[in-house]
Amino acid sequence: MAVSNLNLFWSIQRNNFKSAFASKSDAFMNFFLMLLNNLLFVFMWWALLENRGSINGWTMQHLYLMHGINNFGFGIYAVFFRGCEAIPQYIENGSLENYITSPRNSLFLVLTSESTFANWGDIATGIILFICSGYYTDLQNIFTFLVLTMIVSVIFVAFRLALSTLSFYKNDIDRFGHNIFMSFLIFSSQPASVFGGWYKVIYLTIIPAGFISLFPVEIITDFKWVNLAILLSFTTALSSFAIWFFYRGLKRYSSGNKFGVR
Amino acid sequence: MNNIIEINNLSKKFKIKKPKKGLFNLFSAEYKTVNAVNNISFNIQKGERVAFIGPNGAGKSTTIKMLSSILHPTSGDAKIFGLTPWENRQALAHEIGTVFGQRSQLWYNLPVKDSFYLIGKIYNIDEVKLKRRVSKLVNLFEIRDLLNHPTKSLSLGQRMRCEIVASFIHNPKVLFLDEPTIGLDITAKAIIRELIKKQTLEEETTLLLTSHDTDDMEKVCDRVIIINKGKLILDNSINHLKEKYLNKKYIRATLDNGEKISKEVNTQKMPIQKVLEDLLKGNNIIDFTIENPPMEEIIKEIYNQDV
Repeated sequence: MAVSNLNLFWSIQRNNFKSAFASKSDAFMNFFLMLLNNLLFVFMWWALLENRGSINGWTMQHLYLMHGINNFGFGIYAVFFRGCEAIPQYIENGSLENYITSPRNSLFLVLTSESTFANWGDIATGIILFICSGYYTDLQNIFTFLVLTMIVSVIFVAFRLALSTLSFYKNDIDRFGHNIFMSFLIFSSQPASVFGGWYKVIYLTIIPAGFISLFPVEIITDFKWVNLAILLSFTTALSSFAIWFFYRGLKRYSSGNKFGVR
Repeated sequence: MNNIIEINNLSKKFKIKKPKKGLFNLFSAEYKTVNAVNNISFNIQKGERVAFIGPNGAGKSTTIKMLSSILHPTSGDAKIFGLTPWENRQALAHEIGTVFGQRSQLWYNLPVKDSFYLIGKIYNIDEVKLKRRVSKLVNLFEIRDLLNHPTKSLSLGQRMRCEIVASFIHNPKVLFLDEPTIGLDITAKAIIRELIKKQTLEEETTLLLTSHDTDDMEKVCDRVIIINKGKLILDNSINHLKEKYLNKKYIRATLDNGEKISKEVNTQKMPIQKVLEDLLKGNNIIDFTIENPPMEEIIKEIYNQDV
């Protein structure tokens, strides 16, 4: 079954690629623009820290690592599992029913149903910034970086899935979910050391961006088992909640009837 | 009795939010309950082609969605091959095919062929078998020329033919077609009906077809179930319905001087040919149509007879 699901996963991805490559020039232009955009953002931090040296102990090396892990993780989310963003739209136009009537796991089909080629630019950014951080020379660090990016991508998917799933429970809540996710992205792109007091509480609870910026960076720069355990526990809890919330919502689904195609 | 589908007292209620005026009602809401499907029961045997007919909002699609595991009922029971659809979704998915006229199961940007092969992968069909199956259906539905076209470039009629092929790929034993001819012109409707009938006869597929077009049931099905406002009001053979309720035709003609003539004909009392011959005598007709009574009228008549 696992082999068959993996086989299906690659078939879906191949078709997503084909869809994106319907216009090759657009696809590549968007890829390079995404890469450029990400690098310019990091360049601004570089310009700031060139004079200051550090922000509450975080140097440019920390920032390269943080943005490297974030971008890579977000890239995986957006290239392979962006379907979670489309759930409110699927509910509204009824196309969710295509996934419910399928013999496969409906959540798996929903998650893999959308993909953005431009976000390969995020994956490329992640690799470039990891090299800039200087940690690439050690094989163990490379392995840790890859594992952390996978964990971060799971957090992105689970958090977005939970927000999108709200649409099963309340009409027109799509915009609210989108705004919370944007706040999550903004919080996660700031150096963790700038957050203190109540901001830090929000950073680790309501908008849990700390788990994709603070913890992964500390695990690479100053490894402690307890940090890895906290990160894995949070990821497992969030993913389990998001999956439970989705299937609970699916039972409440009352069908949409807009005309449309996939 | 070889019942494949068994439905007992199936009901579905929807809670619909009532809009409230005023800013201070942000956190309180009133709901009204709508009985979309109200205690319906019927059985369908293997190979039967059943038309599930009713006006808009009658509860046809809601019933089909409960049978295809999309919706959970409020009460009652349904079994397909002895399994409850909303509890055995994945197991039944291999036995059931669905086509919803309003939406597509094909991928918008991809060539039709790629959608077919992806659907084959979803149903885990062996590659050689899948090729053979697609080839057979493509020939039958005459869509070979469309295979390399992306779905977005197809006309509605072409798309519907491809949709039906997609629903047959995994060789379902039961097929639910929800308004398969909606929005199509007369020629496209006729082709779709003929192909559905041919394919279901050949493979002994059990068919439940919803429509509010009486022609769909006449041309494709041998049994009809009519529901209105969620309640079952007739379950009988198509021939019975034809004899009792579809014996009325409306002839509308436009003369060359612009005058429009409209006639109601009871075909049991007067053959339609005779009416047309009378109409052609001394009139220069530039256009004419023969129509069945609308669904609403048939339902009204059934109610009147019941009373």
